[in-house]
Amino acid sequence: MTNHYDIVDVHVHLGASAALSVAGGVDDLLRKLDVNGIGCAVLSPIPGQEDPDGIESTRAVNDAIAAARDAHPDRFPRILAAVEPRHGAPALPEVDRTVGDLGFSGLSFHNDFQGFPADHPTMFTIIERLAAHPSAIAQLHSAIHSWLEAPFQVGKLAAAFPELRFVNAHALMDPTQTSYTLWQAPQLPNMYFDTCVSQKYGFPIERVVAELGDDRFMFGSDIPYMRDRCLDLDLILHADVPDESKRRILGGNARRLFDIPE
Amino acid sequence: MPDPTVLDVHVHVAFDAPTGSADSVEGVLRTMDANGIDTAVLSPSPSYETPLGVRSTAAQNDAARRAVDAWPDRFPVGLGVAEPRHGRRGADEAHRALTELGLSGLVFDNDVCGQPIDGDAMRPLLDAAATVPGAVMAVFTMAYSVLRSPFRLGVVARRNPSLRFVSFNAFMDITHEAASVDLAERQPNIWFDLACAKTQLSTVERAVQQIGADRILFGSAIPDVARSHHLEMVRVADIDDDDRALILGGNARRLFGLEEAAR
Ligand SMILES: [Zn+2]
Repeated sequence: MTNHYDIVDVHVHLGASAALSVAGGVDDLLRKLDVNGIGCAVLSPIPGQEDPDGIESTRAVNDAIAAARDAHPDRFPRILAAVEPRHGAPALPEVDRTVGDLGFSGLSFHNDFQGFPADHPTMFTIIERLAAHPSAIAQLHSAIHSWLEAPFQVGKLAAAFPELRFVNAHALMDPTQTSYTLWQAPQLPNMYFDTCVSQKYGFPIERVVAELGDDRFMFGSDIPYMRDRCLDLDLILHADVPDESKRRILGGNARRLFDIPE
Repeated sequence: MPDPTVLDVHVHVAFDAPTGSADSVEGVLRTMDANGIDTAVLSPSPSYETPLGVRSTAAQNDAARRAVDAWPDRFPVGLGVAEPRHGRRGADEAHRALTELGLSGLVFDNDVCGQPIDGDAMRPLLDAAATVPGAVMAVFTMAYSVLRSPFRLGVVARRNPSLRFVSFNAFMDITHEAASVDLAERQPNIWFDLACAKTQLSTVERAVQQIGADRILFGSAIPDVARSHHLEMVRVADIDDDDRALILGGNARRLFGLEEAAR
């Protein structure tokens, strides 16, 4: 697939998910980036990985992410780490090891697969630890019907840590969630949103650009969760919005937020 | 370039919309053209207003008939509407739509109807439809809805074995997909529409594997889309081309009793 845009993908996962039977190795991810004409991506661990060894398992997962970045710094220039809330306070040093020592940009959570809700006290403790690192970013997946990662639960964290930047992942998944996102965004200036797994009807991209502008939404593919073609990319490429808005959503906003040089 | 093999089962017209607007008949035809969709099953937009009660419903059905008559090569099939809140007279209108008007079935969005799919208020409508051989009931489902939960469609499909049902929007997310697979295993008289489906996690491939290609139907949800990403989803799916042809139109032609001219 070819197009003339600079495409930065903020939502690519590495590893094998026990929850959704999806797996993507580094070669598979690179092939899917190429198929879709995506230049580079923010890489994070696939949610719901097995962790028979608790924190040790998580450390191994994060080490694999760092290794992928080191092997392909042009394709995976920025990375996010996993920290499991069910691992409790003993998980906190992993925040410092990854974001501090290994140069991760921040943390990635998918609370539906992590057992504790996004607004659980342990989550506040982890995010507080993250906020101690300058320029850190917290990516949280949200789903409007979830008990564990409803958008308001993610919003509570963002309100509690206004100096930290949050990425609300798949914020346009269905009409109810899209409406909630449009309502929530003006109240939380430190929250950014990605377009992955968006509804493909009802003109979500047109709605957000018209109502909120184009500077807080970023393209995310959710690779490896599709065979090859990413139709979320088509949704943006074919949206009835100004070309400059497409440039920002497809890459410009991500380069600014994650400080990725051209 | 229109593809003559495509029969889109899920296109709504708002008959009170201004001519030329996106959801008028003309607007819908323009969107079909832009997507290369040659033919479609036309149905009234279920969210039409009912200030006149059953008369408002009758006006929708009359308009659907007129549209099908005016563009028979684009809309070889038309569906009507009926309202569970209209009681006995609602059932009479359902019967009129299926017999006098010759519409091929009815479409229900029970969140709009305000009554559950399997509620008592739906019984007279479905009983009336069951007296018309070949009638197809297109029923919206949604995993999280109270009124149009997928299991409720299973209840009415079991109660009305002579009727054929289409679950509209049957794969909106993974929970919905799982519910549709479960329905398919229980009820042979339900078909499943791909409109508004999730586009990750191999929806088409999994539907073919778990339900079988012969009960999966392509639907665009025009006019709620300008570009049908779901047509592309079917075209790029990793399935047999014979199965793809069934999904894009073959199954719908068989379900609605049209000739298999394109095959
Ligand atoms: Zn994700």
